[in-house]
Amino acid sequence: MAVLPVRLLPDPVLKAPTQPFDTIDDDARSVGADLLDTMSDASHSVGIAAPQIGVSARAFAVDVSGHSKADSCHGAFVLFNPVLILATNYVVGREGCMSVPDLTGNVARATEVVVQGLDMDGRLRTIEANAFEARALLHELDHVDGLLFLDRVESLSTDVFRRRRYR
Amino acid sequence: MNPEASYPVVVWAGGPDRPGMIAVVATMLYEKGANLEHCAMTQLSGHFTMVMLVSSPVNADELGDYLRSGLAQTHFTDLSVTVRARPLGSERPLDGQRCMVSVYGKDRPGIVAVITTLLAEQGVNVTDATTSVLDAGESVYALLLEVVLPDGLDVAELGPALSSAAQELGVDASIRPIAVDVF
Ligand SMILES: [Zn+2]
Repeated sequence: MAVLPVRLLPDPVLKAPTQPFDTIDDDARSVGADLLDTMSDASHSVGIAAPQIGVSARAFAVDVSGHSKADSCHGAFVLFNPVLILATNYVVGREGCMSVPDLTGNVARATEVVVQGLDMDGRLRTIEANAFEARALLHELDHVDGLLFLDRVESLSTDVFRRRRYR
Repeated sequence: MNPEASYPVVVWAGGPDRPGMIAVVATMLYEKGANLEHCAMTQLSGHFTMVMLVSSPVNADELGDYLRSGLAQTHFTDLSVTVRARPLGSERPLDGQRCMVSVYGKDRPGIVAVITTLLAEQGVNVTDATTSVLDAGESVYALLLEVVLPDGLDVAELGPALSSAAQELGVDASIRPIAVDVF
């Protein structure tokens, strides 16, 4: 259990393929504990994925407790081998990432999601989340797939004005 | 990055939009050993415009001559280029509440002038601005601004001042904080 440094772009671990966990053993639990420790140590952080602490594995932690924008809230939890089961009702929001300092972008995310994964005891857990917690889950799911919000930006800040065709 | 590129300059370039404009300018800068830092490039009603912060291995005048004479050899002869020296230390960080301002309504002269003057008087810094005339039968003008409020100025204070200025112009205005969620 340790607070680990958050890896920053261009660290290749953020883009590297990740391995699923065969079993939730002590090694897996130790990754989970590091995720929770690092997340709670980083101020304002509501989620962190294994690649962000230098581990190429399919796991993340989320905790939106006490956040003003949260509606659903499952407290602090870790999911191993997470899978997105359902995603609906997309809304655009301005997003940033601990691993990408200074930059933000407008990203459309589902506001209602169902995510499944294994918890610290290796039990299948189904998380139904909405609003802020849904956005946090989707952001962390992307990290597990080596995607950053930069890969999801749909338009630049001038996106209100539809480009007309000249020529 | 070329560490020899020690002249901070601003490069403006623009002309009738067609594919390849960024490529030709960026390639010329790259071949000269200039570093392209922060840029904004956009297409406005068929005119493409670029603003680039560049660190150049030669001074502003020399870089301008290099770009203009190089472009004259391409089919982008209608691209106009201006280069100026950029004072160092002008990249100050912007701390403060970021907000989005929307102003829109029946088109009339002075909307941008009146609204931005009001903001300037309050010490509000505009970081991005986009305007457009929309044809919805009647001409509609829309002005969107990203701003940073000075310390001590609250959205709740600025909102009513903005609304009353907009009302005098016969348009609508709103301001709201930009929330950024960092994960
Ligand atoms: Zn992130």
